[in-house]
Amino acid sequence: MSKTDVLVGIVGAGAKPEARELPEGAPPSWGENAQLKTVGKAVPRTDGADKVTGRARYTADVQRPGMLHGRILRSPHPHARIFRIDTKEAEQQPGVKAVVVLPHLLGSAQQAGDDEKGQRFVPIVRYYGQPIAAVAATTAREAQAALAKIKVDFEVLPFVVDADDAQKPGAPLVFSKPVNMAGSAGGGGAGGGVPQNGNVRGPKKSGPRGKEAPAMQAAVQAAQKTAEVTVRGSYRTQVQTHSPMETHGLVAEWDRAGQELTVWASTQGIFSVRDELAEALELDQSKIRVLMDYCGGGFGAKFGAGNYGVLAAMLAKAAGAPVRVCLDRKEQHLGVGNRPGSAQTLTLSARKDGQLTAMELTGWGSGGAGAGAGFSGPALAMYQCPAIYAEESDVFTHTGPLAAFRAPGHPQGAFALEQAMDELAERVGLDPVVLRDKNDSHAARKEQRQRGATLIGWDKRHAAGQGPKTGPLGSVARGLGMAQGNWYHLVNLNAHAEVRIHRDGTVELLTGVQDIGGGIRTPLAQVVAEELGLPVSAIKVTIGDTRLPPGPGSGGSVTTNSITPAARDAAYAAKTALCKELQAALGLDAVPTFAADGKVLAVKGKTTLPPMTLKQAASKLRKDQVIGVAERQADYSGFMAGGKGRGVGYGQLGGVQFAEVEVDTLTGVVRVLRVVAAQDCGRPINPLLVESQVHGGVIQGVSYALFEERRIDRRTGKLLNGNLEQYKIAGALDVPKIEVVLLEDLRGRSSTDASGIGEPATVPTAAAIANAIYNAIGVRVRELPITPARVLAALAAAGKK
Amino acid sequence: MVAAMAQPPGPPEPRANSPLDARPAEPAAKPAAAEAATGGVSRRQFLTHSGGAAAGAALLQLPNPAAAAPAAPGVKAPAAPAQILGPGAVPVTLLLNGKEQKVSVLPTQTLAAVLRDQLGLTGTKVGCDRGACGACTVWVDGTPTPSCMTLALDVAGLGGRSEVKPRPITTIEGLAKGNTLHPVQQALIEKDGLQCGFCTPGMVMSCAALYEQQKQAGKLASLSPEQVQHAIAGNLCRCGCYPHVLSAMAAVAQGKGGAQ
Repeated sequence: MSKTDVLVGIVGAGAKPEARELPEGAPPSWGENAQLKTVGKAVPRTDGADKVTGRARYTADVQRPGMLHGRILRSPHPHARIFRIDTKEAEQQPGVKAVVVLPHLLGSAQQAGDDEKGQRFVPIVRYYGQPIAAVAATTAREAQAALAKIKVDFEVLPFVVDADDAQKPGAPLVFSKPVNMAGSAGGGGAGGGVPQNGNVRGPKKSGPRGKEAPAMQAAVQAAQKTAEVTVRGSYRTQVQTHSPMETHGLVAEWDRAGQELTVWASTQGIFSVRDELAEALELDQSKIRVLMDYCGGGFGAKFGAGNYGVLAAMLAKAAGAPVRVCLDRKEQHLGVGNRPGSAQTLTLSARKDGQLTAMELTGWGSGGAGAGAGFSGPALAMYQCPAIYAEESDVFTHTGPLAAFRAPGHPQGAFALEQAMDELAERVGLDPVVLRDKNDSHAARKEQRQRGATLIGWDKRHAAGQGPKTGPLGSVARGLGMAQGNWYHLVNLNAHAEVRIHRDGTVELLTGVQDIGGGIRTPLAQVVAEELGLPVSAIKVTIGDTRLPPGPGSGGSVTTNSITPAARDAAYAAKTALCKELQAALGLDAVPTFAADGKVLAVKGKTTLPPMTLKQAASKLRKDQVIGVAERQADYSGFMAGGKGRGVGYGQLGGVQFAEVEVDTLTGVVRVLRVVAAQDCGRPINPLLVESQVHGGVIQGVSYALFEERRIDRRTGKLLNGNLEQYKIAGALDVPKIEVVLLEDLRGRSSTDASGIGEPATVPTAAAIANAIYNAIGVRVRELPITPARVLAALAAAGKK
Repeated sequence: MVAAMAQPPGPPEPRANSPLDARPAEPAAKPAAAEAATGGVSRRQFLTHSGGAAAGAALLQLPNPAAAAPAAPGVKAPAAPAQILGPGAVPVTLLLNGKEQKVSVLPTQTLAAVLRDQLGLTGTKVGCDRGACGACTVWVDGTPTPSCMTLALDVAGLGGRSEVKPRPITTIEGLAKGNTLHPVQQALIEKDGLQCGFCTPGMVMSCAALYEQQKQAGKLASLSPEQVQHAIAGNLCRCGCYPHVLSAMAAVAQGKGGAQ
């Protein structure tokens, strides 16, 4: 370790050198992006041509010789006990090569005792669409037809699919005994060690990081008694499904001995697919290879192999042939995850001058047959408030379990918190931006509020409901609103990279990360190109294979933060190795040096040799290549918190968004006209790709705010909108003009100093829109999605219609 | 579907690729004028040719060699209008990316399924398999068309004694000229009008059709963002590429970005 001064702060807003502890052998710290040649530049993604020509191969495109098609039998009942499964007749159907039964269920909460080791089938059904068995046949049609011939002996049980109903006394129980839910499955929930009564598990009691919950609870109660201003409100958010354009899918192929498994998976984590398969199939991790060139979106729902993946591997083994299982659109909505719904009550206590004195958040989240709580992140971490206390519970229902979804819990939490802050601002007579300046010391958000407000024209904002009405009938009101969000500098230390410089001067980067749409190949090529003084096109990047040096799963906005430092360090190591090799090969007295322009400078005796290009230098190698390997080091000067192979960096990611909306008070239709998204992601390696992800976060936020909701029939427990016409996601005509303000926020924490953007970009959007709607019509809508019906109901309730 | 097949004369279910979904009824047949203009075999023509009862039989009978015999090659078919297609595979010709391609298709097979599963042209994606997402967009007679909602037979040439000519189909694989990308493809790369890329082939086909249409009309320079939004209104993108698709189209309309 050595203390070094590195540049820290927002470039253009007071960045200055600060001391950090760097590990031995770390490459020299970069200055601001303006001083770099490739990093920080808007480089078009290097695999763009594959994607625009249709050459890019997704899992659904994989064809293997003799490949069979698998289809999954799903429960037609939301709650049932299974006594017997008879597959004999199905096995005799035309084209059928294998029928298997799912022995253990993944993705749902697990109840103690009902997942016995060695069981042949899952005895309890807890949601409509729960996978039971699967058939592999020569065609998908034959497989589908044979499913009808599998005989399942069900005892149909009473069920509850509505989270409010589930909390009533006597509601059918989803779980009769305490459950466990792997944290990896859904982004938390109330967690273990909390009471479970009926369908409610919790409450989990928490305070901000480093504060004990009981002490915080007492502090909140005391502050509430003396509060000068109290703002209290209840908020509800809906269940949202991930709806990636490529559904979940996996192709499984065993070697001829039936010992080793190769799979092609549509996933955010090739290594987590491997690990889940290893566990489910009791197979060595080393005997499973997971491959993925491209993934058609995941948004949190594509970690692990999933039940469909385990079934594909079982079918492939049984049939002795490769098997593809790709879900159809309805299955995608049914059983591979969702963002849980929530009901939250938030009480803010403040002084008359707007200074927060206490925050209390209570409520539940419902992730179906999985844990659903976990929305307190923004309340616990965004504002400087002396007393913050949260109580959250999971509410179980007989519906498909949740999965992590882009910033788990945070859009829900921000929807409540940021509307409450808006309300408080009005109560104490402060501008919402000023109120936040008073209570939020986060440097990036402060800058973002300023720049964002200027860009949207915040000074032209009218008082709530006081703006002029337009439109042919004078019924269209405009409004401006803002909200902010938080996320974390998360690092996955399972991030290794290898850089090879070949004798012909070509350069390869190998790392087992995967592209889920962020385009990680390009920033990886940029950091290696920067280090070696080469153009981006000179770097061949290979990812998406578990035979490569392990890379992090792409979730939690960890990818760029975790893997680009490893890539840069590996390039630095390769460069160092090249120079040492040159010294030996050329008989030099000193190790040659690498100039900023990528030229190698060497001195022989007293003669300065002509500067060599990398290609010229590499041609002097005695072996065929030099190799540099590196892994992600802990953040410079350490992490704020750590765990097994993980780290949480100091500080947090910000993000402030401003929205302008138009609300037709006659029809209730809301149109989002503009969104200004001011974001930070550490050092932006590629502003063009960052901007794309910010657009995506905002658009998903608009869609979450106004359109999306998974609907389940309360009488039958069945999914009503398992498609893309009744499950509505934002299309081109729904999208506002989006302006991105991107800070270069250097933190001096790694050799690239990059952080993430996927998640923070979607946290504040729905809240900003809700605040803008309030500003337009003077009535607050506290439930998502903000449909025309809800707007009209709110107007009617307020007597304004 | 199996149940429906076993109980003739049930209602015809011409689309049966994803029996988990209860599909909405097929839209009513196109007006005769539209049929004449497009020159292909519409479902209505198909039904007319084969006779209502025969069509029911052709569509609903379980596959067996005897039933398939009339359509088998080498066997003299009875004179029109009694040509029966299916229920087995029918040898047809597709006019695909400028080349004739012989292929055997089931009457129930969609163009998307034939392209992807039989011809290995996996550039065309299936996102929803019911015409709601646009990932499967190809051009039929130069018009963007959801290939998951198009029966392969409806765009195929029937060959032999039949007068039905194949309709020209362009897929994402046929858009670039060798290594030279279509200007829209080039602009989408430069402006990053794509993220995960799964909607991209469909998005490209919709955008390129608009581009060609505007170019032919000599109105490329006046292409408006609203026109682009409407052209891609049926192409869902979950990553949120729309703003960069708009900037790519603006650039390409102005002759910037993308080789002209």
